[in-house]
This record gives sequence, structure tokens and C-alpha cells, in this order.
Amino acid sequence: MGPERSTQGIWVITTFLGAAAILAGDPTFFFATFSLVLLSAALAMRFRFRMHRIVTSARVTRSSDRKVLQQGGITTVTTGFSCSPDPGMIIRVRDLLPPASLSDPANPSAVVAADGSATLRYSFTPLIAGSSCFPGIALTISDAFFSGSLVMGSDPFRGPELDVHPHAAYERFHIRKDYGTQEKDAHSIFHGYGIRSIREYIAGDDLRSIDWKMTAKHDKMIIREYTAVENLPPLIVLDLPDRSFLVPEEHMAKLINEVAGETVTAIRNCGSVSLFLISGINVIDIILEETDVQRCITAIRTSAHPRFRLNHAYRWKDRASMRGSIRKSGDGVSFQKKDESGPFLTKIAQIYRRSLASPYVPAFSTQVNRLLSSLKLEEIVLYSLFEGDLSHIGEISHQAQARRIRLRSKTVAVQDGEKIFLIKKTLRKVTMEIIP
Amino acid sequence: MKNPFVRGLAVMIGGASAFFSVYQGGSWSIVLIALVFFFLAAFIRAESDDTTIFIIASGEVLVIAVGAASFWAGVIAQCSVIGLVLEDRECLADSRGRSFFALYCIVTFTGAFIFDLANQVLLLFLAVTAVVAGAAIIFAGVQEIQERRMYSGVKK
Repeated sequence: MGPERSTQGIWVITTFLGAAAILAGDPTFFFATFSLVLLSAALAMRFRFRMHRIVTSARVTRSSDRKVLQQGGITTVTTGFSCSPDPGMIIRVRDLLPPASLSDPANPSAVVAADGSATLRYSFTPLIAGSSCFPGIALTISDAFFSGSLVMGSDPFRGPELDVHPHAAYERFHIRKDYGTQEKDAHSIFHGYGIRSIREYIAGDDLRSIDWKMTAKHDKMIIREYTAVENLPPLIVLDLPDRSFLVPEEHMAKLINEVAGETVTAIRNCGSVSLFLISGINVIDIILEETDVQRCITAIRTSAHPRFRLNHAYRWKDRASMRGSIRKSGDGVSFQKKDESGPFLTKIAQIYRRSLASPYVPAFSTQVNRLLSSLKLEEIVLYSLFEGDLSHIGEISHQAQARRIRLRSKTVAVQDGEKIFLIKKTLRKVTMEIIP
Repeated sequence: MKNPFVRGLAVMIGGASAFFSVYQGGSWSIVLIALVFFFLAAFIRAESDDTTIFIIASGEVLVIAVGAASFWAGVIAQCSVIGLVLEDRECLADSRGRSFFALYCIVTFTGAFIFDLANQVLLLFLAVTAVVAGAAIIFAGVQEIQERRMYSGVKK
């Protein structure tokens, strides 16, 4: 319990009066000091009585959308508070959160209404696995002269208990080509029951993994390599359309919503996500292995709108296709116009060779290469409206295939047959999903 | 809700006690200045905490000025000042608040009666003040500890 500002003022005046009373020795001064001390004491006792009345009448009901959730998952918690309020008292109720958890808003609290009720509604995210119990509420009560707070953590104010299942129980990334030598990464305590491979024992291997039957049969130590879940978050590429193209707003909204949904799902399932926002060959934003949903959503919301493309790839030299054409045709070049004469084809072949000879590597190609090198990826999800030049998409597709990374592309309502042909040609073996 | 009638009544009682003290032979100039300050504080539009402090500060000046001429007029002025403060903070809105103020006035008058009769005022003042403050501190502290233990949720 502590004094409010007005009470502090009264105490200061009382102190001055008391000093004056002792110096002057006048009964009026003594009486004035005494009456102010009496006022403070009476107000303090009155406040305690009223606070006690509120505290004893307090009731809490708390419910969660889900009783069982995944570590890092989100559930909505609703806490109802009721009490018998006293006029002139301001009651603030705050829900206490279990340790190692997050909520949105960060400190869920509310001022109790005149009828003595308050409702708190917030999203709750447990960060550690196990059971997670809400420890109670914190009441802050104040009147004009005093304020006090009380943590109410007894049984009627606790609960419910949430069962939080572990989420990121993943094995570290394995470099399987190095089998036969001891892996550098520490062994994970989490492994599955499936056997990935059986190999000879190397000093440092876990003795619990020794296959004793195989060891007896071959007369040398054989161990089992267990399979485990590997957590490789996807790279989401959002290709924003050029502003000079007229893009329906609902298409853009669908695309952004889908990207936001994919981001949230990726963070929930894999723990993190990487975002690559581009508009043609212009890189807008790169977010690497982000674990915060809000930060990703904010980046998408702020950056994802049609952009003026400062650089274009219309004159992009597709080195792979040029090399392929030369390789296929030998000396000549296989060209669509079969009836063209030899000199034309020879000229084209010369141009191709000259282009290939010059060390021309576009900046975007380097950026994509660096990005894919820095991330351990199994999948790239590409969102685009496939408007205008598609060279940059072809480059991403090419580099993904070279690195054996699966590429899925998603778009909104493609109806033009010619356009579909162009997209298929650009994306080669990539599957394309249409967002409904 | 603030009641202008109660406020006016409290100010009038303070004013009446001031005039009574002048009638008894007090220094009218000091009383008049104190009364003006008290009126200003009573009707000033400021933040609630500031208003409370202004009323108490100006009120105590009035009480001392009035009490110099007539001790019991000072007691009445003190009750009017405290009544005005409680009314300003809306503590007299319900019957519990009014009972609280009535009880306060009774105890104040009792204290004033004791001070008026006492020969050695300083010792009496120290004793009574210590008892009142100590009782309040012990009561509030014990109740706070009890509540904290009751609602801590720690199993005994």
C-alpha cells in the first residue's frame, strides 16, 4: 500500500505543522497536526477495508481456445473478472502469464467497469514445452488517497493448465556425402525409429546405436544411423508486379494474403522462414530465417505492392540456353526458323559464342546465387502474378534446379493460353498452383 | 459526484467560524487573508490532487488564524476543511462516506477536548499521534500480510 500524490501533500503539510507546533507550543498547531495525522490514518484504514471488500468478492474465469497446443503455437485466452466495486475506487486487473511465454498485448490488463466486471482477451504463445499453467491475476486498486496491489495466485484464480507439445525437436542438418567419417555436428538427442543407414563404427559414435546382431555377424562394430526430422524452413519468394502493368487489386490482395499465410505456416511448422521480395530483377527486401511472425507480416504488408521496376531483364543473356543451343547443334545452331539459310545460323552461333566468352554475370543472378548458398533449403515457394518479363523467374528456377531445390510456384488466375505456355517454358519442370 | 451544496456549506462553516473568531477579538486582517485563500482554493479548477493540497494548505492557515482567537472555532474550521477535501474527492457521495466523516468529526472533537484540557500539550500530542499513526500502520500492515498470504497460492 502506498500514498497517492494528495496524501503525500497532506503528509508534507502535517510535517511542517508538527514542526511549527513543537516550536510555537500553541495548542491550535498541535490540534491541526493531530487532526491531519488522524485524517491520514483514517483514510488509510478506510482504504484497507474497501480493498479487502473488493479482494474477497473477486472472481475469475479463464478459458483458452485450445487445451493442447504446439510449442510456439498461438491460442486465444479470455479472462473474465468480477467483484463488488466501491464507488471512487479504480481497479485494474492484469493477467499473470506463465514463465517463458509471450502474449499480445504484452501485458494484458484492463480497468474494471462500474459494474465490477472486466474482460481480458489476448493471444498467448508458450515458448517451452510441458504443462503451462496461468499463475493468477494482479490487482491494482487505488482511490483518491492511497493505492495498493495484490497478486492473487491461489487456486480459484489459477489455471487452466495447457499442455504444450515440443516443436523444434529436430536433428541438425546432415551432410550425407561425408558418410564414413565422423560428422562434425553434435548428435541430437532426438531421433526417429526408422533406420537411415548401417555403417561401421567410428570412434565417437553413440554406443547406444550399435547393432549387436550385425556386429556379431560381421565381427566388427556396426552402428545404426537413425532417421530424424530435419527442419529446413522454406524460402518464400514474392515477385511483385511492375507498376506500369494494370494488376487487379483483388489479385494482389489474394497474393499477399497467401504469402502471409504461407509465412505463418512455415514459422509454425519449421520455426523460421526466409523471405525474398523482388520486383523483376530489383531486390526489395531479404529476410533470412526469421522467427518472428509479426516482423515478417509487417515486412510483407509494407513492401508488397506494385513497384516501379528500375532495372529490367529484357536484354538478359540466358547463358544456359545459349550454351544448350550450341551444344545441341554442334557447329550450327538449332533455330526455330528452319528455312533460314546457313549464314544466319552461323551468325547467331557467333553471337552466342561471343556472349558466352565475355564474363557477363547479372547482379541479380549473383544475388540469387548468394542467397541460395547461404541457406539450407529443400523448397522454394514462388509467388508471382507472372506479368511482364519473366527472365528473373527463369533464373531462380534454373538456380534452384541446379541445386536440387524443389520449386513450387503459385499465382492468381492465369487464363491466357499463350501466357500459360510462356510460364511453363520459363519454369520448366516446376509445378504451378493457382490460388482460388 | 461532486455536490455544490455540500461544498458551499463547508465553505460557509469555515467562513462563519472565521467571523466568529474575529468577533472574539482575533486579528481580522490575517483571518481575512486566510479566508480569501480558502475560498479561492475551494473553487479553483485544478487537477484533483492539486486541489486537495491547495484546500488543505489554505485551510490549515485559516484554522490556525481562527484558532488563535478561539480554539473551538478552529476545531469547527478544521472539520469544514476536511469536509471540503472529502467532498472534493467524492468521498461523501454514499452513506458509508458520510458515516466515515461523522466518525472523523467525533474523534477530532474528542481529541480537541483532550488538548483543551491538557496542561502538558506536547507530551499528550506525541502520545496521541503515535497511538493513532501506530494503530493505522499496524492495522494496514497486518491486513496486507494476511491478504498476501491468503492469496499467494503457496501450499502450506
